[in-house]
Amino acid sequence: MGLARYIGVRTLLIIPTIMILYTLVFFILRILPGNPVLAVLGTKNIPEEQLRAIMERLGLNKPIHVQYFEYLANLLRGDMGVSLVIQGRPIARDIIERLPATIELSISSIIVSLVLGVSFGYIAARRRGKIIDSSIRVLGSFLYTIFIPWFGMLLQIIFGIWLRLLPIGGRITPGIAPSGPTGFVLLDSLIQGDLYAFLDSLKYLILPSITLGIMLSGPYMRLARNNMIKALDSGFSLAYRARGIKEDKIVRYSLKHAMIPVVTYTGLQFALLLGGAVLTETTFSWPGIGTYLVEKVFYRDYPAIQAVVIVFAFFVGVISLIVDIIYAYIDPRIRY
Amino acid sequence: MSIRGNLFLISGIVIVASILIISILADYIAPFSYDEVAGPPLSPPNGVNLMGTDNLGYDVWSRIVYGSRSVLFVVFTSIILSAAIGIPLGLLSGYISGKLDKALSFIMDSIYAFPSLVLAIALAVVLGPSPVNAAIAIAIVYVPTYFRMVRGQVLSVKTEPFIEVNRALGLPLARMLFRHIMPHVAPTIMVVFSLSSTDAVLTEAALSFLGLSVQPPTPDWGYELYKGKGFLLSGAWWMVFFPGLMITLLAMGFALISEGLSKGEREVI
Amino acid sequence: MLKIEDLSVRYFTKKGVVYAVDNVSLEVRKGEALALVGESGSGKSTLGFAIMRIVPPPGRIVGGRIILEGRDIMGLREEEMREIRGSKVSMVFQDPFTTLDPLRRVNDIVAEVMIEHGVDEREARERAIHLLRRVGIPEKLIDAYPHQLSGGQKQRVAIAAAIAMNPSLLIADEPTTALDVIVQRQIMDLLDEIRKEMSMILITHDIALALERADRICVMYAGKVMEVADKGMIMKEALHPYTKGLLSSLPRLLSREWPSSIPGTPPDLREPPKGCRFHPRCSKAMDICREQTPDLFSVDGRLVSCWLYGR
Repeated sequence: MGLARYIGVRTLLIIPTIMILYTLVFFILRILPGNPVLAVLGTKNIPEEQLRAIMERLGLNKPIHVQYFEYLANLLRGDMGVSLVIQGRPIARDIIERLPATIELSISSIIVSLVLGVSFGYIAARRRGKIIDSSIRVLGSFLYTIFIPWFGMLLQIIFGIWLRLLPIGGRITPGIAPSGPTGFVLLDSLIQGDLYAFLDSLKYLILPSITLGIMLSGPYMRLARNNMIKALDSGFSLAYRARGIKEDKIVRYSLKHAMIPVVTYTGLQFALLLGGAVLTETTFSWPGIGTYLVEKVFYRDYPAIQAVVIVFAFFVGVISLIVDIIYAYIDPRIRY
Repeated sequence: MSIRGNLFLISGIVIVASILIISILADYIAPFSYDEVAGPPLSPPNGVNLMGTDNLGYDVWSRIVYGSRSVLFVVFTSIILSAAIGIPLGLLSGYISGKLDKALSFIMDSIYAFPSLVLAIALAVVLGPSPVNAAIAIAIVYVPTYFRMVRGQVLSVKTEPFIEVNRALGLPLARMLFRHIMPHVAPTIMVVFSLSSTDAVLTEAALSFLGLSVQPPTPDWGYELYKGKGFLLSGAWWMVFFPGLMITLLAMGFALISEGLSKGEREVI
Repeated sequence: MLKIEDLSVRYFTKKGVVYAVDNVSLEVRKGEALALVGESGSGKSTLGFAIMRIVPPPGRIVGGRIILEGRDIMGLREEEMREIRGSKVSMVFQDPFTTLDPLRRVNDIVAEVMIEHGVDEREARERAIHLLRRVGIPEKLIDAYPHQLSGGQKQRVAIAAAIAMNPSLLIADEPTTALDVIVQRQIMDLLDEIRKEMSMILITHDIALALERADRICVMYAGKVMEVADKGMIMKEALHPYTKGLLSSLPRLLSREWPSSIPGTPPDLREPPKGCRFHPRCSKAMDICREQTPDLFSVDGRLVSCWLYGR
């Protein structure tokens, strides 16, 4: 079949997945009791007509299925509606502005997680049965119980306030941000050759990505360890040894085998990552979608909240697609 | 059950039980009331205020003690609700199969795939901020977990001969589900209970951290953390350290229980 | 060309020490095919691993000497041993499904053996293609992944990788057990052709196969050698009671007698029987069999470990 064709087929499959998530989100937010407009405007007594007028303006009094398709049509045009709170401000624009920050944080956190998880898992696999193996396994099992904001704040206190080594909030020193094409500060600063901005933004990225990365690394440790052991013990490792292949090459091959479940897991737990990202961003005042969501929650800006949730649903679908593709790349059995 | 499993289980129970006791005997344990000025604002831990005071001079330790009530209330309520909805649905769906099963599984899987925290936030916002609504929000998010686990167990038990026999005897559905299938499902339920309790603690803390659970002046650990965030730069580390420690401790307690229980079920490589 | 003296291999497991191979002495002559025959648990596979010093943990060689082409390989360092593996001694394993890395192409697997042993990469790749053709892999499958090949083809690849460096000794551990009967014959024919250039140890539980394809037969039981003899001698008459039992358990096409089986089961090798390992199941067991382990006695040009023939 080949990799290209697999990618094509798999990408097509994403459409029904996203549609389903959209439907789900749409209905969940509407089924629940409570009039969103009232909630925003408070319980001030608004005359019946005025209330109806507002709702009509927002299209909230149309039958549900009409709203469903209208919103979908708008979405496809890139229109996510306008904020209820900040009059007339298009939500889509806000989201696109904030998106790169969240993606930057997510990717660097995943990298931290992977590096931490796989290396610890590797160490545990190589020293199987010894104390360090058990400790790493226990660590991996319980790492996720640490409350993310707590851990983040402790890091802020230690590194930001006591040691004064790293900044405690924000994404980059104000005023330095490169006005680059991508919106990814790290990339833009590189594109513009602004090394100072690059290093500066890196400094801001360290604590949040370490926080989120460590919290997510637990399962990777276990996965990497168990699968490395399986690979090292398996028939093909023995066969490699019998052919006189060097041991560190064999370890490398085993690692490749172990990566398959690790990659799969990344896709499956992307949802967890998003949740953690929201908390991390809030803790570190990282200007991403997470903080956007929290702000909108605070102001009860329902259209914005709905839009954000849909964006999240979209990302969950996209990430599972990417994971499947990477999986197919690593494991040829899938695509042939 | 292995030694380590036992160790985990016991430590977990000890931790959770202690916190439970603290919450029940709050009035006797806490030196101050939670909205009583107990010392100069923002004082570090000292002889009178073992964990310091917050920005309004309230005793942090007392607020933690009373806060345990909110936390435990939300956690237990949500778990019970989740289980009450998820388990019967799982039993039914797994046993009956067919279109109902397919539809339900589909819905549950979609919810399950979605980031639980984000969903909980959205639900809590729509319902309105209060501990009860937070509990409902969390409950909804974790229904699929119970559903899937129970359904899976039912599917594997369904093929056992004794089920066939009972069905041939014309046993009514409810009896079949609860009398015969449940016992096999029960051990898994215990594990899921403790596992989702861990998640519930963390999700509840997150919701109150974002102001979506209790409202001031009622204390809640997550909310204390949120307060503490604002005073980080003043160096008031104790406002952040102790509440967060409690959250992590409680979560870890439940996690220990679940690890302890599941070690009794499977071999660890 | 291979001389094994008093070799012992033990597995140190959590549930006890397993005496998998116990004081085994054996010889393989140049150019011959020696069959190592025994039930599962007889130690034959472990012996095969031991010769290459790849006994998997918790196993370990605890004593004895292995002299390969005049060199005592027990004393070699791991790097020196690695040079020998794959180039002087090679092994083909029982289950080709698990012994071929599914993430690599077969021509890479074969070429790698040569590259690891110092062959220039370009030449290694050419030779790999040549080898794969020789063992009968169709042209379009030469750069395929293992899962695209049939069981027999996978085993052929394994053989190609094993003979890539023209080893002096090829150890084939149950090479056909995981394959179906017709494919078995093809693979054995391939091995027959290959072993014209090298010595071979064929490890199998199937004595019929051993009689068909090997020059000499070495029967093992419970970690010890019971009998070693030329094929012809065994076919004419087996001396050791165990060997006799194995032979009579073969169904005969033209005979009206039902094949008989050996009563009892192989012993738990954590506590092997005292004396002769086979005595609990032996119809000819004498008192001395229960007390003392018999040496390998030389009788009529063959070796038997049985008190019936010794002094």
